[in-house]
Amino acid sequence: MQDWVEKYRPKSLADIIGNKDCLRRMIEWARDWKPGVPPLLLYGKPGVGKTSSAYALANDMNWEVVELNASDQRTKGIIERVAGATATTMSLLGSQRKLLLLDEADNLHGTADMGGARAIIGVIKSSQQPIILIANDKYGVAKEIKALCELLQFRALQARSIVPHLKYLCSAENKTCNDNALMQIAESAGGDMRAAVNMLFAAGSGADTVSEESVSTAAKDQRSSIFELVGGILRGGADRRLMEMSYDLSDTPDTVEQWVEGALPQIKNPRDRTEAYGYLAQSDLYLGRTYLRQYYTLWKYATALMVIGTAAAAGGQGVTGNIMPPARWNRMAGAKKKKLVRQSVLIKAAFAYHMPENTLRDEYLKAFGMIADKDPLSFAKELSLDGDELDYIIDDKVRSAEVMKEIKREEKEQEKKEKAAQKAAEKARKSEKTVRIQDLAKATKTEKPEQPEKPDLNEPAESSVSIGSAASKSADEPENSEKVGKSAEKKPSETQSTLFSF
Amino acid sequence: MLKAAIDTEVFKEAVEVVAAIVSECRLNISANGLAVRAVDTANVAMISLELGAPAFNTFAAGDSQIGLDISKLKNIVASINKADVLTLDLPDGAYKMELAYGGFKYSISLLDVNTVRKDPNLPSIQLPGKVVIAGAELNNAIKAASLVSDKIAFGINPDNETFYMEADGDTDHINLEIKAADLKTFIPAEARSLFSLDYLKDMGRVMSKAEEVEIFLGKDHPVKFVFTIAGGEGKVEYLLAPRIESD
Repeated sequence: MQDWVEKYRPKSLADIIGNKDCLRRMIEWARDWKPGVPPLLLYGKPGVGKTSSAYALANDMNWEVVELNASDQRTKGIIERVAGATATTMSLLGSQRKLLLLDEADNLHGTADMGGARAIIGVIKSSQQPIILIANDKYGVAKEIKALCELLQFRALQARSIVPHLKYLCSAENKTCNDNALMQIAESAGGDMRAAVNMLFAAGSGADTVSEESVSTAAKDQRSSIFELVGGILRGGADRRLMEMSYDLSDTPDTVEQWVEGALPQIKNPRDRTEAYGYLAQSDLYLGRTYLRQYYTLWKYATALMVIGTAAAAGGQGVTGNIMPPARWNRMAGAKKKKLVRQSVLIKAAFAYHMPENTLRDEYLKAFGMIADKDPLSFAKELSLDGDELDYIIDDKVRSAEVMKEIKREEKEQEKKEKAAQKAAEKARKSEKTVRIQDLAKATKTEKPEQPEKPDLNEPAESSVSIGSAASKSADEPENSEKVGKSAEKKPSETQSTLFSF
Repeated sequence: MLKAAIDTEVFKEAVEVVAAIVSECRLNISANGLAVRAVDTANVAMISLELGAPAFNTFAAGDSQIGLDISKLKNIVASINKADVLTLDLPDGAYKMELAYGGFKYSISLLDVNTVRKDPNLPSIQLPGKVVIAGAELNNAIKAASLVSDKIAFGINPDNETFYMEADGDTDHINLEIKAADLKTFIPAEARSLFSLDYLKDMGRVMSKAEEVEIFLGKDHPVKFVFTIAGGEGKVEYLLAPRIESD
């Protein structure tokens, strides 16, 4: 017997329930489609009509459909051959276009799908045929693929829009149905039409009526969430039920442990709280041994201790605050950044002071910080630290920001000075040169130099003033000699321009 | 039900013809012989094969349809000696087909017909141009083209009465022109379409054994190759969708 989901799969977009905005956009997209129009990426929970919409659209437009889903192997080679061939050929059977449907585009990993994402990008870029990608989880799709697509979100369906469809199925199957039963199905489906139809199918098969009793046995298997488990621990539940919930989770026990740890402060009575932490600590021992020995049977003891043990300690006192993701995760992200900053400080300091990074970190970091605290400016300059790095050493955000400002200002000034000095030095050389050339000209009456005309635009007006200062500067500051040397390279053209101005 | 004996060489050829396009197919069995019609996963190429009862040494069958893993079958028949006679035995409603040859007995599990793609309808397309050339010549052109590019154009120039095949690579170009006088049949019509060599290479290898291949062409339309196997008792039709010429 064919199940009802397939049997009553909508043939036309008009038959699809809910998500009208998405459907309208799909029709527009299909109607205006021409090579180069970005593909659609339909995403949303299971059972809300993504795949059905894509097929219905193809049917409405009279397009052929070529589907690649997770049950096919999707290696680079296969995608290139099947999807690539589809996307660059015309139809064989005489329809206008072929729709390439990449279902479960968020499941493109694992060894079997190696290189698959890259291949899909290639196909999208070279496609001469429309493409629709479908995913449950938008974040499971590679960023590069998303960037090439137009995203359309399919939302969960309202229970009240599911009921009429269930009613229609009942009448089409000649089954009498109870309104309450249908409502119950629609609500427990959680916006998932496929689940609702399957439940109805299960409740209605082999019977002429769909009653409330038959529905309760056909309810969808609900997977527990971590929130339910943590809530269950605090509220206190049957041991077996708590264990079942923990089995349902896709998280590993060490993740669950951190959630539980985050929730334990909610236990009011200090004695109970202590006891709960005790169980959690014991559980943690088992986790440690699990990983140490790679003996995963120990997991169940860890889980039992962290779930049943803490629940017993909590004594069913109930949830008193928000159940939140473990704060430690946030802290770890922060710590990671801090570590990076520390590392870069250490590298710079170790280089400057000829000292191993580890020694510096273990023995001198504190002293180093105190010394730096006295004169952060010169420290920052010497080690060329940035704001975060200086802050790490002196542990003072405001001051390090000020120091950075100061350094910036000084740098600017220095730059200005250097520029001026450079120009002055050039000037000095130029005048020296010109004099020499003039002498030369006088002596031999030579022709003009062959350089093309190139007047010096940057020539400062008060050049004569800076000549003196630059000359004195270069005399007592040997480090300026480099700049002078640089300007000397440019000499010929400069020489000429001044020659003309004289 | 199927009970038949056939020359290995003939059976091998028939399997290879199908394996060039698909890896699994539905095999239609009737008193008149075997028939396959299938398209590949990308809906780009179609094979239709009719292997008449006279192609077999003995043949007795009732109507049925089975799912065959063609790639597996191809590997099996590749190992059979040419001289052997192959017997096929498929009892009614069985899930396995028995292949016997030279002392070996091979039992092949069949695929559930419902898991194999449905046979496509024959598309109704008009292909006005037609030429007939030797299979070996066609295969040579395909092989030559695959050296310079991944696609080849087939076309008919009605003005100077030639059939041409040309391939444009990034740097190289190859062109083969055949005058109408050198062709066995020539029905002129304005025709030119571009095809993927990926598919043609496999098809060309199979067609190279055919003495004559009829080629039907249109303008940006699929190409149809028609040829016979098993001494004229098997009729094969390939249909290949054209590539979209992008600039």
